[in-house]
Amino acid sequence: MEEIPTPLIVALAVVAGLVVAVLVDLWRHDVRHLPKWAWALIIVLVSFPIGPIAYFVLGRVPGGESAVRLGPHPHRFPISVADVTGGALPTADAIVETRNLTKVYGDTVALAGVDLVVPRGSVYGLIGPNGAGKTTVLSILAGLRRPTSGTFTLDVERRSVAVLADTPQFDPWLTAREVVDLARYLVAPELGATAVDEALVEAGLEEATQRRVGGFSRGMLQRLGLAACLVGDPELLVLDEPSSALDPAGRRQVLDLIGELGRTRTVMLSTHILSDVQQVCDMVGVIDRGVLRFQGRISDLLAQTTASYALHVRPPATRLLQALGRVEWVRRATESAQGRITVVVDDAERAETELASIIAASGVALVSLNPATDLESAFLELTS
Amino acid sequence: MNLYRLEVLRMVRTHRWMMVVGVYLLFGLLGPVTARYMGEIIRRFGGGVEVVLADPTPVDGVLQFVSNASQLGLLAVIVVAAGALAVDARPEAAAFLRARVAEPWRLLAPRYTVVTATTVLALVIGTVAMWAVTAVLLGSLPPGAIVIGTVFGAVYVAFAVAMVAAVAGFTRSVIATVFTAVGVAILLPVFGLFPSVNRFLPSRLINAVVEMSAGAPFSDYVPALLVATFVTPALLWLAARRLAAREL
Repeated sequence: MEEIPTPLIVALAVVAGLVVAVLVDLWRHDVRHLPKWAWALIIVLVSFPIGPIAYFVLGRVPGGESAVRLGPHPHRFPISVADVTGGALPTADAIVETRNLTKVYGDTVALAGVDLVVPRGSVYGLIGPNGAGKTTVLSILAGLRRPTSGTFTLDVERRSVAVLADTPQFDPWLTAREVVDLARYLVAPELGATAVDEALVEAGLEEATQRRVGGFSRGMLQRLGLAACLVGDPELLVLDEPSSALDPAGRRQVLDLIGELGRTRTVMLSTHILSDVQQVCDMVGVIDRGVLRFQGRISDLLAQTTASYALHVRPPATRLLQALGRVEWVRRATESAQGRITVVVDDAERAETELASIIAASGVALVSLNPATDLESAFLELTS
Repeated sequence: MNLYRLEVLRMVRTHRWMMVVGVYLLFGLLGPVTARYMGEIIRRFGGGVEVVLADPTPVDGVLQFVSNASQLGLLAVIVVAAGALAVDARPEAAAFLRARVAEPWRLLAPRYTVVTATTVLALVIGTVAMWAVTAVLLGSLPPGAIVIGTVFGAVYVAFAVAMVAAVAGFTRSVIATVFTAVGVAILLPVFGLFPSVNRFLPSRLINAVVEMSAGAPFSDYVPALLVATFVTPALLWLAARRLAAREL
């Protein structure tokens, strides 16, 4: 029998070696789309080199990137365009202004004639439940989506607008420094390398500058996104849920940073964490099912919200509840826990004048009485 | 860090260049070996079947290389190109670039250039390997035909990558882009069954290196060359328009 030619043996050995190398790579790395055993079968059974190529390009998760899948798209609720209402603010020094901004996806209205006014130098919080249209508004302002109708004006150069997505993602094989340097090149190429380092320090990433992004947690990605926003020294920062993925310490740091930025720049952020808005924002817009329900100062929002008071009394509180039930300006009095009563009133002035005497007359011992009108109750009143 | 460096890093750090270069190099080395030893291989593994083959010629080495590379090589090119040119495949990552780059051609140009350059480099490496092994095992090839045929092959590769870019403008994910582009690449030569159309098809340029090595004149490929030269920028224009029109 004739010998097999040496070049053929060499070629077969190379092919076998490559298959083994790819299988070793498969064993050492995370994969996506299919389980590892399925990729192993594809690599071995599908003719070389299609199987290994398919694995390398589609299945391999490079550089420690997480194999987590993205979540579902936010829900959108069908509503009528005729529902449009909106607050009015002076527009003289508005850095962002939208007029009748409407976005329709198929037969679903995501934004119904939104009129936003973001004053220059403010920290503007756009709040609303999930699916309210916050991200759609910010995406339109960022130039990532187009309105179906209506207009918006940014009184600032496009390159001076920095946008942070709600779940920022970057190519996992880049280092943190490379990501921020790329952002610098795209928006402010005239700035030097020190701007990159400063932005990374400002975002609290100075220890991770040379690490590949694929190994970053969600919180670190959020900070990296912030660093990429800061590097161009923007006039307007548009931040979509900037603190949603952060631990308490990281959230504190980001909120402090936003507060600091708000002194020299305009910040527009969306969130559903109301305490964040209360801490850093001076202006607020409440959006619900695509409709802007309120826009103005937080104090104005609280002032126009139905007043309520939290009473802490020594139980039993039955006599006090019966007494409150007979008062004409008391809309509702409920005991959520023993001795903890919430009183919702129609007339705050009379409540503040007469409530103490009603409690005294009931003979129930009062431990504390506090106003309970906060942003959360205001928000719930507007959106419920 | 600019967008060209970004694409070079994408190619290098994800090892995608190895896939394209590996496929072309492998077939560049194996093509002439297979042509030279086809008779022995059939005798060894053919189960006693007696096949009489003509003595292999240098052109057979080129033919083996091109026939393999034009299928699996093209598949590798499509897969690698789709990985780069499906710009919006990961919307959150795309948002980082698209919020900062208003003109879509600024995103497409580096991706197209780097993928095409890598693929052309792979084609050249594979051709050089094939040429060298053919010279050792089968005999010399006409240098003019090899060089010009390779240039024609490079034009086809540039066309194929532009076709993937255009497809990515209509599809969003990498997988959808790959499958659609493979479908288009398979369908295109079907039109070659009509002789009047065949000479204009860019896919004709793939075989130019084989046929020119066997003596076909340069002029046979001018129509296909012209079509590829004009259609490639048109496909890139379409890709840019589609990218601009798409919302994240």
